[in-house]
Amino acid sequence: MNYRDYAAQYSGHIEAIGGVLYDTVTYLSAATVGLTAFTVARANLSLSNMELAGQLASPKAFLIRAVRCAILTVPWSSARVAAGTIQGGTLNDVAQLLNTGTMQLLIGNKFYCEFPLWMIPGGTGPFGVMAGDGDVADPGEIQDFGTNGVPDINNIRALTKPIFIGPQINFQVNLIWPAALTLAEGNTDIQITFDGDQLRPVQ
Amino acid sequence: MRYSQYQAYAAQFPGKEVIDGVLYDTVQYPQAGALRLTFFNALRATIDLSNMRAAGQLPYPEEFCIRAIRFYVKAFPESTATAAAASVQLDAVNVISQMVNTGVLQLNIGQKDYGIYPLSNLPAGGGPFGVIVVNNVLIAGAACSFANNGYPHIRNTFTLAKPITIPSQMNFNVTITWAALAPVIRATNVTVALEGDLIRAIQ
Repeated sequence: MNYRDYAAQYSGHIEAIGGVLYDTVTYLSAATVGLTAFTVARANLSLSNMELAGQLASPKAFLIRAVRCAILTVPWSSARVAAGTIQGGTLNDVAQLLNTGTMQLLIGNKFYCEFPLWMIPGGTGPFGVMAGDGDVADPGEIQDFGTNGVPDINNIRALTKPIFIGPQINFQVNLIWPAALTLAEGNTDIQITFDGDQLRPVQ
Repeated sequence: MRYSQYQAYAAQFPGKEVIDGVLYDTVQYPQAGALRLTFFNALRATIDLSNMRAAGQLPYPEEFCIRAIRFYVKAFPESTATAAAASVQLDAVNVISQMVNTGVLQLNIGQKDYGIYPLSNLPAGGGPFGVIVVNNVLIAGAACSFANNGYPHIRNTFTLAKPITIPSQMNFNVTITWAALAPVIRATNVTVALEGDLIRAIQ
């Protein structure tokens, strides 16, 4: 019997489609100093589309053309703090995460894309306006919202030199902060996305 | 053993690879202002502050081709009192104004300067983006503010018409000078980021 006649894929043929690899990790307020993405298979597609932990199943591969880091926040209401003080809230959460956060892409044993988080905009998120009626007794309240950069699809870090992740090679993204941050919104999800070319078998 | 035999055990392969990269360094702008800040001349304690691995130079065999220069202010949302009419509003926006209105950046490589730029020409091209609303019955009291150095969009960066390459092991730094002290509401970390091509060993 020639088993190749019954193959689930055409031998040696690979197709390329536009695709993304994404993974979501949770920053634990007042606790996290480091997060690792793409190393664990997640529970559902809202969190990640990785089929394996830390690698792509052979013969799949991925050419990274752009990298994004989205801070997944919601509008937040906070007590206004005294004048001359940093105002807590969602926007401050984003500022804290970006101002001291650093991303590293590890493929095999080498680092690629070592960037401060403020240089890896999300290119996504809500865009809107807020208004208040101003009748809250002193010290008052603030409502705010924030994203990692302008939520515009053109606001993403497109690599001038794409990076290829081959089949079955280990890769992960490290997010690093020098100290734990206390966030007004509490635990906050961060989503890392690679935009690029997904290579997979012809079937 | 002959020298040529050692090459079989080399930690790197012949030739170099080029990837997208950034060199960044962070120093603190004092509340009272500064007349001069120097970047890339010292190693910092944590990776959120700098990714330099040698003070004032790139370790052999690394080189870096600078294609863009950014100036990022690590600002936070500020709660402030509203200023009297016809006076300067001291808030988060004013922090940026004070720094960029009179600051001048100079890139020094070897014994020569390569570019003297007003800070106002060097937007960060990143940072938090959002809205804040204040609700407070005190008419003369509450204000909240936040600002970046320019619109936080990755296309909003100063790109060099002619890239500049920093050779391996050649001294370089960046200085920012102000003609007079420009005080701000709090000491604030500021980052200079040189964006471009990192040239490194193949391993």
